[in-house]
Amino acid sequence: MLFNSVEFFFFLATVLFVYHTGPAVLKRPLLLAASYVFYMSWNPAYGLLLFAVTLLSYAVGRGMESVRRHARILLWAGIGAHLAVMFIFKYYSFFSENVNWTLGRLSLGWDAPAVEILLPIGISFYVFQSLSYMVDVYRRQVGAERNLWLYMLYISFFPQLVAGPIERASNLLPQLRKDHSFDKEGLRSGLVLIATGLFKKMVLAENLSILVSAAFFRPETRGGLGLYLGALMARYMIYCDIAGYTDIALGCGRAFGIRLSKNFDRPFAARNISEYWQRWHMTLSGWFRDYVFYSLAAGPLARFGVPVLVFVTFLLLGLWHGASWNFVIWGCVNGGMVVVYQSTRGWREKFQVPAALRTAFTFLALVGLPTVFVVTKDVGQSLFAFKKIFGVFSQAGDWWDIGWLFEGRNAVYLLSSAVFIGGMEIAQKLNEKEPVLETIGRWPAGRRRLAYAVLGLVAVAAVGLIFFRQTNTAFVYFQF
Amino acid sequence: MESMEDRLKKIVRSVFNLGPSGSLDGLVYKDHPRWDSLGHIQLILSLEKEFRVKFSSEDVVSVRTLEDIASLLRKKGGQAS
Repeated sequence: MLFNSVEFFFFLATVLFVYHTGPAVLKRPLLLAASYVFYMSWNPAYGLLLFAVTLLSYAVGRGMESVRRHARILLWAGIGAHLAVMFIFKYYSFFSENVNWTLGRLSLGWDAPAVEILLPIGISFYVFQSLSYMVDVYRRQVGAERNLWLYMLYISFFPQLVAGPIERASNLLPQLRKDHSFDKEGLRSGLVLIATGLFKKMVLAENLSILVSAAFFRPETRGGLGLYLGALMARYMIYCDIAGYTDIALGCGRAFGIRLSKNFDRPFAARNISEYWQRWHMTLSGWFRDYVFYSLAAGPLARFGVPVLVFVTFLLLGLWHGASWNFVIWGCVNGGMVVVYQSTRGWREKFQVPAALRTAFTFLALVGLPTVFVVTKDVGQSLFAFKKIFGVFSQAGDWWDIGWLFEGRNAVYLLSSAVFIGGMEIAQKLNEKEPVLETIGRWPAGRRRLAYAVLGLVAVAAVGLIFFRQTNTAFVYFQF
Repeated sequence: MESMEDRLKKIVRSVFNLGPSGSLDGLVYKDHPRWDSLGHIQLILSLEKEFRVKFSSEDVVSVRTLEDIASLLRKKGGQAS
């Protein structure tokens, strides 16, 4: 059941209606049942896995609190079991392929068995949420939850179950424990967020995905500039996809009276790569900071210094995104850039570079270029694309050929994306001070009507574009 | 002999490049541009080396201010130079 589907619309409307009109005692059971129905709508067997992971971390949390002297052993057992689940469902195929490749080179005549395992949707998100809970209980940052039903709801809360935000127990559990009465303002702001998220996903991400596919489907037919622009559009497409999902998740949460964590803070306004990672997918980067980077700093790797810790953390962050060498390299490249940024900080501060130039360089080079690894199917194709992108002098006129971007429907997608992205960036910048709709609401009647008319036209244009394009795909981060 | 607090301040100034006279009043993790997560770990590792103590991951996440660090160092008895 995708967020951008009619089924989900009816599902959400029904759950919201019963939640706000039914007896208070049924609110939490309703949300829990709805969350499992939502997750099992992809595959009923997934529900068992979700329940098993939940039960495991619940038991480890209770165990650590009651037998404190064995807390460390219990924690490691819990972490090991969680990582085993991730390994079997997400990384086994990648592992067996590489083992078999290596064994083939050694001619040992033995193969790791190939097993076709369907990756359960959202596994990386709820397993990480479950892991964070165990570590937080171990670090005494939260107490172990006694109520199993409430804990099940914390892990499975459907708005954020399959693609985050990855919530900490300290934020979500107390909110789930509280009774929430109907809040008109919460519902209104939630619906605005849902509409914003649908716009990002259904208009921008879908538009850009067609252009990105046109660039990278057969990269040998494209010039260097076309591939470079394709990589920039791919980064924006991924942003609109996951940020759109997050907006819908936050909006749904708010409609139930629950505030989920902020996940994106205008990442492309970052003035350096380190700041970018503080603004991009904040609940995931915060997770890696608190549970990987800080844990590594307290372990034996610390003797090699901060650069090695940063590098290893980003390597694992890359691997989290997908079981492939492309993601491993992408993680390493990002780790390398953060290390270089950090180690040259004192030297760079001697130069006064305008903030706009730093922002442009961060997006156009540091964030945009490595996206080639994310959007290509293997390392060979990535290297081929880079060779073309950096071959500006060797390819003469071919490098500049971006005629395909303006052919047929592509021109419509390109132009509409550019206009919508410009409008969205301005709106998000203004939103930092005060929500745009609230500002408009205070304007004099004439000006206010004009603003609403413009917004109405934008909505009509956006819906028109969706029908014109006739595509509706799943969210990118589901596969993570 | 330098007190533990003075040595701590010296390391903080050096790690965050604050200069010998830079004020350390109200310095809080994440509130200062230099004291981000990377600066935090750089500080923790420098303190471990200077005071010959070992911080656990619980310690790393729990300290937020210089007072937190000083009290943790006192608890761990980190006085050696």
